[in-house]
Amino acid sequence: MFRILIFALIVLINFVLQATFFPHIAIMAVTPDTAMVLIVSYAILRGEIEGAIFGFCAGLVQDILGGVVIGFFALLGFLTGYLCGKPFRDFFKDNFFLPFLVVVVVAFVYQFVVYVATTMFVHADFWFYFRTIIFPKTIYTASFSVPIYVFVHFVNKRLEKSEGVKREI
Amino acid sequence: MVDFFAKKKRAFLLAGIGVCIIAIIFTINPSIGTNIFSSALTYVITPAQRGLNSSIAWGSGHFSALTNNQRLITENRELAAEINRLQFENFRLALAAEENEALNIALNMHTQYAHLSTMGARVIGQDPNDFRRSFHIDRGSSDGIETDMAVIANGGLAGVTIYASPTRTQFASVLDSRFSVAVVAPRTGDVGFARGHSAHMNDGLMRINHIEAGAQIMPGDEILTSSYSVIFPAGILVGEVVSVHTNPDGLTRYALLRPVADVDNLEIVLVVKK
Repeated sequence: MFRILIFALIVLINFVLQATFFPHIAIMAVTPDTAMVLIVSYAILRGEIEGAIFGFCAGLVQDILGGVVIGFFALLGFLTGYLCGKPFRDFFKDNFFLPFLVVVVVAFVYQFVVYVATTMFVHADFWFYFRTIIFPKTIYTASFSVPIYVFVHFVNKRLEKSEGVKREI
Repeated sequence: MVDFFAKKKRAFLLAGIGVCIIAIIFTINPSIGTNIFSSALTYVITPAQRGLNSSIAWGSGHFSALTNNQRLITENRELAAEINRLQFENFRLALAAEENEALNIALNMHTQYAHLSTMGARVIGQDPNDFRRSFHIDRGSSDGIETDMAVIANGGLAGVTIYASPTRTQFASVLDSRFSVAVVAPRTGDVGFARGHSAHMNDGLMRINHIEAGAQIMPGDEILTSSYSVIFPAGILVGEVVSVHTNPDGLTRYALLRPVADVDNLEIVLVVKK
């Protein structure tokens, strides 16, 4: 229960920051997608089921705040959490390089899917968007991966200690 | 609960995907309006966003004051001179306005801006999706804001509200690819549609598509909303034509338009009530 409260708070703070502070640190007019990094980090640490639930909830918050279609980012988050949690169950959690690589790949795929959904009904030049949004955003997001992973890892370790048992899922 | 799902992973995966797809299908129609989850969540988020946004403004204001002291002193001196000049100009314009009013009455005309009922709102956030350029303001449906209301800033059109929850509203700026408005160039009488275009979004430009070959539109022309527009009142300044280009087909042209509203630095906007 405590875990849910803590991570709900982290997700909400993240979205408040994304809407208010991040436009001030935009580079080439792109902002880092820290919500996605949170989902990946959580999934790597806690496995596919919790990762998927976390991704679903974080995506749902993004949908609700974004306002128009509910379910799109929830679906993306759900699948991200599930897929990232699956192969990394037995992975050494103190290694920070793998989360970085995973974030690079996921950020790219994530932006690509958002690109497809955003430009579904209009003619759009893929290379233009790749140059101006998808590529810079992937790099910028990836640069946030290690600090956020370290933070989530730290919070998770403290929570696991207070929960007493380390669940194997 | 997690252990239960862990035993039925396939069912869990399918159920999650199914729930999301059903939600998408039910909400893809934008006329659905406010729902209960959205209302509940925005009551929590809006005050936090408002507070953080003003503290960021406060912080960056103080920080820049510390680092740019010398520049500010020079700027201050220049501004004082500018104020003198403007006061004189103001006096001259006040006379002109009086004269204008008298002439208007004489001509039995009325200005349309004066009849618009507007409401001030503060911009408190931006949509994190970089393919879009939409913003959140701290007024919502409880203040009488609905979807499809014009948003004005810097004396010109800044966007249109696309989603109103009780405490806050999302509006698509003029640079957002979802934005489109019927416009007219008063100098030539040419009409067209100006829309946000993702390819020009980062340059701060809009695009007027499908201009006829015979149109006389040229750089420097002012562009206003036209009376063909269903949701925008006619006669609101949109921007100034920057350049005119010929499409690859050689038959039609398009123009790039710089909106008067400074979209990337919006702080206070006016929402035009219906």
